[in-house]
Amino acid sequence: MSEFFAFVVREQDLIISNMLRHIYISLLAVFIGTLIAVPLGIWLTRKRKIANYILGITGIIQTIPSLVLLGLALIIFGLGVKPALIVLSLYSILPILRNTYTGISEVDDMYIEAAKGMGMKNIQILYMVEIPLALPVIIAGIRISLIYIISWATLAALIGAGGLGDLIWTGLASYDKNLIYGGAIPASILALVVGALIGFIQKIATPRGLRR
Amino acid sequence: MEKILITVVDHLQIAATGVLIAVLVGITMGIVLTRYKPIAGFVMSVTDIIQTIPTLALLSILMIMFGLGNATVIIGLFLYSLLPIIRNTYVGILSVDEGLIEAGLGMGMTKTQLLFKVELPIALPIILSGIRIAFITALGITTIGVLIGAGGLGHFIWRGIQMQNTRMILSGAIPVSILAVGADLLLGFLENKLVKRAKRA
Amino acid sequence: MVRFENVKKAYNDVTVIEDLNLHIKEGQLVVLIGPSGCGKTTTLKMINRIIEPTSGSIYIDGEDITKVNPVMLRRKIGYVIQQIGLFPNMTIAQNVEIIPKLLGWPADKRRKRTEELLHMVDMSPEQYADRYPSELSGGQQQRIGVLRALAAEPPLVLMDEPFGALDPITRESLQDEVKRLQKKLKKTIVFVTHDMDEALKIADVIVLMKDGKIVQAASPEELLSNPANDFVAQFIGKHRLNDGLEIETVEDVMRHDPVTVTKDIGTSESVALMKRKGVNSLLVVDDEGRLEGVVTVDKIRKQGKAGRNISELIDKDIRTIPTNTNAREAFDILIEDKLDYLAVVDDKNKVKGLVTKTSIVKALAEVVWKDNGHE
Repeated sequence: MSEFFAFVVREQDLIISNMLRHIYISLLAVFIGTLIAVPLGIWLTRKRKIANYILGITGIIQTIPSLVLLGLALIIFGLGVKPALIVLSLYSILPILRNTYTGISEVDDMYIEAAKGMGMKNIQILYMVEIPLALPVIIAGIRISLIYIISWATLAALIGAGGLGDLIWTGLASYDKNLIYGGAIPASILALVVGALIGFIQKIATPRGLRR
Repeated sequence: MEKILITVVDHLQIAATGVLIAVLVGITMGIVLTRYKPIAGFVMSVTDIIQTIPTLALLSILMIMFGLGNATVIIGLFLYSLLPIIRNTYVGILSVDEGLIEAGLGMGMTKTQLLFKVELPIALPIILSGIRIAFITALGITTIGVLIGAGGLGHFIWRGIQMQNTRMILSGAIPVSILAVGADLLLGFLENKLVKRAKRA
Repeated sequence: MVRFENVKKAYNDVTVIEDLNLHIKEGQLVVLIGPSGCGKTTTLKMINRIIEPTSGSIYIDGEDITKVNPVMLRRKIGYVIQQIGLFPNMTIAQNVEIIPKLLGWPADKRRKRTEELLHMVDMSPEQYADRYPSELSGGQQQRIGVLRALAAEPPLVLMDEPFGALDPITRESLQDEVKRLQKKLKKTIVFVTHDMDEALKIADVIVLMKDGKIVQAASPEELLSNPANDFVAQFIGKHRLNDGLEIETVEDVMRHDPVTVTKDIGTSESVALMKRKGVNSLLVVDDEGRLEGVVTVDKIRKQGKAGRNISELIDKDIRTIPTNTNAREAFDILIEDKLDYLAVVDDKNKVKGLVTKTSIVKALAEVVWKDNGHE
């Protein structure tokens, strides 16, 4: 163990720079995913027929192993950060899309009728009623997505994304325990901290009237 | 081709073994937790934390502890599968109508009889849904097993990525995707049937 | 104020409103009432264009409402719904201030209006303005629902069964409140209900509807003294007039909704059902509704086996009486034979009801105290 600590002290720059890169790639991917998934999810609640179709397809995509998708990304886009980011962003869409759709769909009809009856425009109903009420569910989707992506990003190192996966990966290839720990432990801590942090944000974002 | 088929079987074996052990342990734990609710929250948090750990991180740490090979992947699969199975067993049993339990007790059933004749049959669709989630996830994790020296279809994908060989990648990617989607449909179908049967009764 | 001219509404081939003509005068509280499916709610919702008529015209203050943008139209019409629909993510004050805010009132004017409204229903702004709907009782929530509709001072307010989900005592006090507010603020209110007591209590004009048509539109007094036809008389009678009510046959004193099951139901399910319905026995009937016997909770507990159905636990020895039995006679049988209940059956042995001591006492109480509001 002390050997590992010595390693951490010696290689702290390497670990920290890889960690920052890992955070950067994950956040960027989920950010892009959110930008696409939330509007798309809202739009789908207005197009129920298309929604079943699209959610069915995304459900199937979600069952496909991550390594497969990364392999396909390599075939289509080649090696590098960009292909990794593309596939991570695309994948991060799935949980957020599903939760946005579910969250908005589950807003009770009575609120919509009340809002309509008092003369709100559709866009006002959306941002004054539907989005606030669905927000906790949407954020839960972002949380799931981010945890997945942090995990996936370790694999994405295989196709040139960099990040903590690089350390694990180099460690596995050379059977260097310190390198493996140096990648695996920060990655695990990162996932746990981010999960807890967003859980906390979710609590804050829940309107007080909806908290139990 | 033959090699692919052998690898498919290998892949399935690894995934199924890990999930099977998790099913045995997870269902038992789920049942026990319904009898000791105060510790349920704690156990769920622990399994939740395990699930949050990135797959490659957990597998590589396990590799350091248990060495290269299939056994290590199976241990990882077991750990990842625990959460959905324990949680669904717990939730499924707690969702059984109080009236039915009272009726069972009123008829003089023992607690064991109640469990096997009333609670488990009613919770079965929910438990099965947990197993489905666990198994699909396991098929995916098994592909990563190649990185810690295990067998399975990940082998082709991994070699293909290294050699940047499309055919090689596809010869692993296609069968494993068919396995995952097929297993999802099959188990989903079983689950639906159980739900329908439960509704008719 | 509001005028319907030859309004018709149909969904595909199904006509729900047939050639409706109605004039709602300013300052009146008009109640639309009738059996479910009569078109009363559809009529109401056409006024603020939640539902659009198939043909015909509706005018508010002489203006054809199809010529007005629906959003602008609705901001000038208060709207109260049965489910209340206060937004749970907003405070009471925020809820009340929605429409004024949409209309662009300045903040201080909005706040003043909210306080004024809360005072009107005796809810102090200091105590309630910043609370959330989930922290209020159902009755308080619907008071806020009414205030929200009144906030922007609309001359016209629509209320769709606003008190239907409240308990009887709260309902009565809210009825009083609405009547008082309407008189004080001189609002025109269109109010939908299925409760004749409520209609008679608050209405200036009652519009009784059936099958998409108006059967009679008149003041409560007129309706009571001069019902237009048998349907009206019956509808009022059932809901209101105890004067003619007499107890004659067992049909007047029985429970009309006994809990029945068929014999293929499982033992555990029957116990669960009894528990849910708060009874300790179930009448067993065949597929046609003919009485086969009774099954009791005691018997299931003593002899039942899990997973089996109740067929072997049925007690066939049950006392039945025909529907035309004299109520007094049924009462005597019940008391003299020390029975818990009598099953009431028709000439085909179909179960029509159940006479118990409680059901008789209830029927008597209705006659003595003319109290039938809680069917």
